[in-house]
Amino acid sequence: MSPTIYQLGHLPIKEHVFSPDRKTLAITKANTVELYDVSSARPQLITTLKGHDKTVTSVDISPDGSRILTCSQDRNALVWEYNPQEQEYKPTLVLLRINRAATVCKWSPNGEKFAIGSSDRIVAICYYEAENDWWISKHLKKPLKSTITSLSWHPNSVLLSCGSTDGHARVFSAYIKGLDSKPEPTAWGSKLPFQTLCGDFINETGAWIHDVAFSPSGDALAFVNHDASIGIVYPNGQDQPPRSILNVKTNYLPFKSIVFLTENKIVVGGHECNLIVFEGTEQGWKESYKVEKQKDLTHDNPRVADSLNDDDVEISSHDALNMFRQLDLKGKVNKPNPQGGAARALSTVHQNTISNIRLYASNQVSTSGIDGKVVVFSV
Amino acid sequence: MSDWRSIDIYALEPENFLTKQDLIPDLPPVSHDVIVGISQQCRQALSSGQFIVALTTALDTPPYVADEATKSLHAETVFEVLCSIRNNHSVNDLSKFVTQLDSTQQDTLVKYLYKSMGTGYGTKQGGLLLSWFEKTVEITGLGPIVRYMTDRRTV
Repeated sequence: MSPTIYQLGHLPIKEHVFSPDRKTLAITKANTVELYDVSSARPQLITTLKGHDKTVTSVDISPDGSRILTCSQDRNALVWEYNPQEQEYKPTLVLLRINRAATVCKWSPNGEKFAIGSSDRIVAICYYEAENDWWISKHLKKPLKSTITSLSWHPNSVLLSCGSTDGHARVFSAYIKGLDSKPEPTAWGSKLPFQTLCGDFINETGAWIHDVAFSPSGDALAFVNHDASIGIVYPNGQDQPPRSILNVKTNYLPFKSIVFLTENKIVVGGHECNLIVFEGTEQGWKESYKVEKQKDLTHDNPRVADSLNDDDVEISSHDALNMFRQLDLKGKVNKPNPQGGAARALSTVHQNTISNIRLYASNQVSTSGIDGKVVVFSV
Repeated sequence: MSDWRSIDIYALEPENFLTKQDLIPDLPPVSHDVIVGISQQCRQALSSGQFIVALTTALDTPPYVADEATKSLHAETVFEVLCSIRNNHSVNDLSKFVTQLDSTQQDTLVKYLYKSMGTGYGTKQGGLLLSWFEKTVEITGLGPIVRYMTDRRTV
């Protein structure tokens, strides 16, 4: 099945999310979030959520589809709900109490709370307080010492993993007394008061962690690093060393995002502009296939041959006329290419870094990129 | 307040920020004497014509946690091995050496190639270093370059 492509302008999309019924798509765009109706073939802009003063870093839709969560470099997070009387989305401010940018936000699977990561070395666990009618937060602080880049919830909505720029992936308990029911013991531990550190893993090189993900059962944790490697951890209960820690090195450009398809299959993507599937178990993981066929950038790139004798290539008078006309109209020029314009494009759908991957259906993932595209791939 | 950019914000929260100490890799320190010993081992292997042994010995023992003098000494050892291999083989034979290395050794090789390029002796042998670099990346792809840039275990 060929991928479904939505070209939504040309500004970078940091994160995208589909509503649970797959009819609405939300994307971050500069200081706003845009909502699209994607139930028909052409995406229709429903509305633009304007409420942040600085770049919106992350967007998420609650599991029941009723609330939209956004966070931004302006240190705020907003919860948007549709107001049928006024027929528009209304924001509620979250009491975050952080002094630096909010970098990432994620609803818990049960939809009763959410987590916000920030460069203030804090993860804020937020929940609704009916008495005062606002969202308040509790902070996970220790032993965080660097910017949080990514968050992922365990399916039990109590455990939370976070990746940070010091190369650590950590698993915390985000148990809120009075809100959560006591969780069943898991492979990560059984006694879980708030802020319990259930796991702390560092990658081999100490490179930034770009994304973390729990497996569907929650019994494994995977993360992608800026050194182009993937780490996978299988825990072994409270206060025990993990059963197995794997580090899969690759020779690609770094990955920005990771998603589990099943317990034994993950999809990663990033600066390579392509999706790559890995398969494995506790014993070992290895690369399975690339989702799109791709020309190797270091070997057979047609541009290399072109640029060597760029100045010697003669262009026809017709091309020259077009060139100057473009220069006049747009103030910039694309040099006419004797082999046609397509030779200058990448061989993948995404023409720039894939910033975010999400599970779309059991065998489909959706991706967004800094080229302004959202794409649904079958894998 | 006009000079807000120069406020030492870490002084306001002295507890929880990363120090240089926190970023030193958690590995045992390597002493200068050990590296001198390895340098001699490599020379012996080279003089008896065991080029691949000399190369793997040098690449298996990078002093990640050591003082500058020790790190420079090991870089010179690796450079000597690379020169010796190149002087006794054709350019195309370099690929055979690279394929015999495992992925960790290949990563370390690229780290030392970059380090050598920044030294005085490396600049004089730029062609040699570039041919090693070309042959290595042909086989490994971009991974080792990415890891050279991100790895906190510097050589």
